[in-house]
Amino acid sequence: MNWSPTPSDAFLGDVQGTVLIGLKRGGGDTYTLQIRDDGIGLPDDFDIHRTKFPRSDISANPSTPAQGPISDELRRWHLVRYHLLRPAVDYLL
Amino acid sequence: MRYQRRHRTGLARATRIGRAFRGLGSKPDRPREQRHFGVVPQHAHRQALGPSRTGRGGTDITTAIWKAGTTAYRRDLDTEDPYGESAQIDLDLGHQFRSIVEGALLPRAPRRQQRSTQRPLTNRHRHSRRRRSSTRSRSTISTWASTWPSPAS
Repeated sequence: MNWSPTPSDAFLGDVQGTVLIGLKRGGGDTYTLQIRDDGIGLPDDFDIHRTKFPRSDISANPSTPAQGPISDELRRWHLVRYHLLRPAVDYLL
Repeated sequence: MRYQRRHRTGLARATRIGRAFRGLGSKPDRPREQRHFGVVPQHAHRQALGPSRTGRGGTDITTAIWKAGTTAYRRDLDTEDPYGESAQIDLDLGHQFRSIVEGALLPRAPRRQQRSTQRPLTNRHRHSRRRRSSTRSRSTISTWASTWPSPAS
């Protein structure tokens, strides 16, 4: 995979929104890193297995405002979940 | 005094987390070999993920993706919910979600062995490899890779 979502991709320019980041412990040494945002989301033609595109392609979403808060009608949450094992968590914390 | 020490520790942790995840962006500002993590790629021969057997969605789906070592993307849960997880995730996390991206975050394996089997190294390559292997991040990755269990195990 050549690209992975980050919070900075969710809000382009002066668009305002919320990003929530949490680390949840599962069974044994497994952990889940959850990144939630209510930003613009990914474009309709996004393919996670072969995508390699610049940010300007994401901003092509016509429903996204150029600046300011996203209206409640357009506001939907997007979730990115990464699964980690204990050594990676130890390094981060 | 105690508060100040705790504050400094928290700031140091936040800085370290920010540095570690900086390499995940679409336009990383560090070379590829200096990044600490990579997302496990999707392979065509991997086991396809089936629908949720328990109907609970989240937990068993997450476990299946983790064990298969795949990357999964649910584009629009309003129109298509292949694992039947939409209602459960909305309930667990308190928001109405449209899309979910899911994958395993693992350290990158060192490339030293791959290079040695490809072609003989010139003097220029040997010097550049020695410089990279002497950095802290390089040695850390090598240690992890030797002790890292397979996601399928």
